[in-house]
Amino acid sequence: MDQWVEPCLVLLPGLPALSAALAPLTAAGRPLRAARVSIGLTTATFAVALALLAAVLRAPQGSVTLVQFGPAGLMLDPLAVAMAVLVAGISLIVHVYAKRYMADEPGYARFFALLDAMTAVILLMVTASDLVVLLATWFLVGVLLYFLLGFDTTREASGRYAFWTFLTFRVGDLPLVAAALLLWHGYGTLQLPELFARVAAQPHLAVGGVPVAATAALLVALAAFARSAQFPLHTWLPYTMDGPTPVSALMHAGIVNAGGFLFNRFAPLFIHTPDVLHLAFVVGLVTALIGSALMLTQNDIKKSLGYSTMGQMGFMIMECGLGAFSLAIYHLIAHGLFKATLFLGSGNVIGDTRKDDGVPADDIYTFVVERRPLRAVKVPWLLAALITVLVPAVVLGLSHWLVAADFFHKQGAVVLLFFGWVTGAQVFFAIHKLPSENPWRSLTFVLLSFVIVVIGYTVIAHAFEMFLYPDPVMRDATYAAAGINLLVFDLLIVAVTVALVGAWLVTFYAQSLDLEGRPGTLWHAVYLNLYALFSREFYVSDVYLRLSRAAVDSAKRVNVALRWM
Amino acid sequence: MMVQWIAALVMLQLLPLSLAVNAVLQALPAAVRAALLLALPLGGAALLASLPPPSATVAQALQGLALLTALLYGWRLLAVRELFIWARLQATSAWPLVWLAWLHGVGGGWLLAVAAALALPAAVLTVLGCALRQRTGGAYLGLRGRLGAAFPRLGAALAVAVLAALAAPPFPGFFAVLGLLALLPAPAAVAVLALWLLWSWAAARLWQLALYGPAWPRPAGRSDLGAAAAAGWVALAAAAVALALIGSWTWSMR
Repeated sequence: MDQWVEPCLVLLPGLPALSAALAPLTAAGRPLRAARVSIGLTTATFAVALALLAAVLRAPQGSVTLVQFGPAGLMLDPLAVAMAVLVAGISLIVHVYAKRYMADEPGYARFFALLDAMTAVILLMVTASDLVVLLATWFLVGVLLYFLLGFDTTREASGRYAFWTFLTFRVGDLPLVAAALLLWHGYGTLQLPELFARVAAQPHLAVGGVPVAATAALLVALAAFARSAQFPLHTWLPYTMDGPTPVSALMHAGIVNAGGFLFNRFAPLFIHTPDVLHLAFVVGLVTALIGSALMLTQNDIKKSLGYSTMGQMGFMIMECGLGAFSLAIYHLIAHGLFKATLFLGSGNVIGDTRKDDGVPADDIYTFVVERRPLRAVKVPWLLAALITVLVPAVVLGLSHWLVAADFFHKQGAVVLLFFGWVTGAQVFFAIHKLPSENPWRSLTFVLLSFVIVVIGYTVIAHAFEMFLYPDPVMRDATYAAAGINLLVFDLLIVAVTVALVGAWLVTFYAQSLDLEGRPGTLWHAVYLNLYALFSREFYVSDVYLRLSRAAVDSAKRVNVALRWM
Repeated sequence: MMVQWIAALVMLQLLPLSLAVNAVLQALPAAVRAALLLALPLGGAALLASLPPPSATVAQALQGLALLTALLYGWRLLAVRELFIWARLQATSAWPLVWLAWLHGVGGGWLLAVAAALALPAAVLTVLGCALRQRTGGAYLGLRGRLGAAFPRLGAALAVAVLAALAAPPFPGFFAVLGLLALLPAPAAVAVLALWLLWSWAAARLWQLALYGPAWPRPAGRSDLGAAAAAGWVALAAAAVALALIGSWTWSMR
């Protein structure tokens, strides 16, 4: 790559680190100056990230830039630059938003210093080329997040939930430390490129009877599960809403999805460990289901958003488990952007709600005052639903004809298409719910949007995959590692499709199905108990709380017995 | 030789001697205690470095005892709210790691560096405990919180010192623990990882008590740390970080 890339790579985490040091120093008596310094340097960081992206795009495929400082080092590859652009971009938006949002808060300069430090540490993490820097930054993200989430010290709740987040992150840090130690003992290097080359040469190496790659991959996956709020290590996420809104945006957009980054960074390790990928798929699936179910049953909208993120993280890990590593990064970026938008726009929603009188529009008002038809006409739903089945079938058939004769056997391609179909069908439902005076025009929109989503999703995901993993051998290896028996795979796809369609139908006919049952019946009792179970979040937090209190109480008793000696 | 062994066991306290050493430390004035919290492990490490390695059986027993001491005191740390006791018990939990380093071949200047990295935070916390006691009449953190609002500089110094005590990066303890973990066999490494988690848990509980909760109104006539004192603490932290980075670099280049 070009000569200027190496200094820019150092500047990437260096600029926000400098800002973290400068912001409080420049703020004496004029706190706004801290924000200006911070935003200026974050803008420069984003510009550096974009320049590095241009350099990576111009460079020959597969080239990686390394900058060594003794044993530590930085690395610029497609994954690092994609993450750097996302993190620097969202950090800049959050900085600009926080300038006014946090203006009345005490510790204004401290807030910007912490935000800058967090940006620097995440950028260092995504560009780390050795295990020690990766471990140190992985650890530091948890520490800084504690102080950011607990920024408002007048709220005991924010401190309490920052504490839980910190503790869960630490639980997740330790498997990564263990994985690093095991890899170092097994392969004798801490440098990631060298390590992956050695793993490729000896994937089945064992130390003391322990298979190094498989065990390390499992430990890395555990670290990713904790960071990305996978069940049962998810309890910290929905409660972090007590932190300042800009922190929520940064956290949901750039920190919680570090699990997906970790899977991609260690992809050369995971391609030799199919069982770990299958485990990731199951954990991701369970998390996606539980997160989505809990999202629907919460009466606190912020907690509901937290569980929504948990569900999305489940999807992301599931994609990794299916070998669609690049799709996980694509998902991570897309989720990061829309969740940041949701959080930063949440103040407007509250403002709009205050202006609204809260009276629902009734049919007579709509007809007389707004002069709109009394009854909105909806798209013929069976016809529209048929589209959701026909479009993927046509895409699959065309791919079989145009792309490859064995397309049906490429599990990775089918997985991409499947995710495209799920997303497209969601769009269909969203449009179908909208009343329209011209159903045929809506139908055209349904068809168009569905085709765009399915093909667009598949094409974009494929293009993104080509960018992140230009080596076709590596691409095939990730899907091959995650691959399962073809018959089981087909059955799984059919089963998930049936489950999804069934769930959509139940949702659609929820009112007429009378899901609650009549009071006094057994089903009603089961329904209520299930609802209680969901609304208490499966008692997972309660169990953790009991266990931690027991540990502290018993320590207290021992201290008293030993007279604090 | 026997005298040196006993002296090492006292200075780098292991169970059951740790109970007696802790009792003595508690009875001493805080300033003396802070000095001893630094001097004892350094002296102990110097003594260990001059001793020949023990037989395999003794080494095994010592490793078990060191891990037991570290884990017991680490666990007990969870329930401590008084800063002086916290610093003393944290030191008792950290120093056994010097034994582990020695048992796995670390000697000479490196052993002293490991001892210093693990001992410094407890000594600093004791000094900061004195500063807190001067301002609030005690160093108990359970009754009043929001120390940062009343004494921003002291609160920040405490938060950073606790960060160093839990062996967070880029403080020396992080690199010392990481270097030690690389030397240990798997079962001992797992125990040290558990210990690391206990330290983090205890540190986060201490932050909770110090930084949140009902406000701690600043007593009349009591000011925060002076600018010179604050600059001194910042310089100490920066020096510790710089030494840690240089030390870990040199260690990895061996």
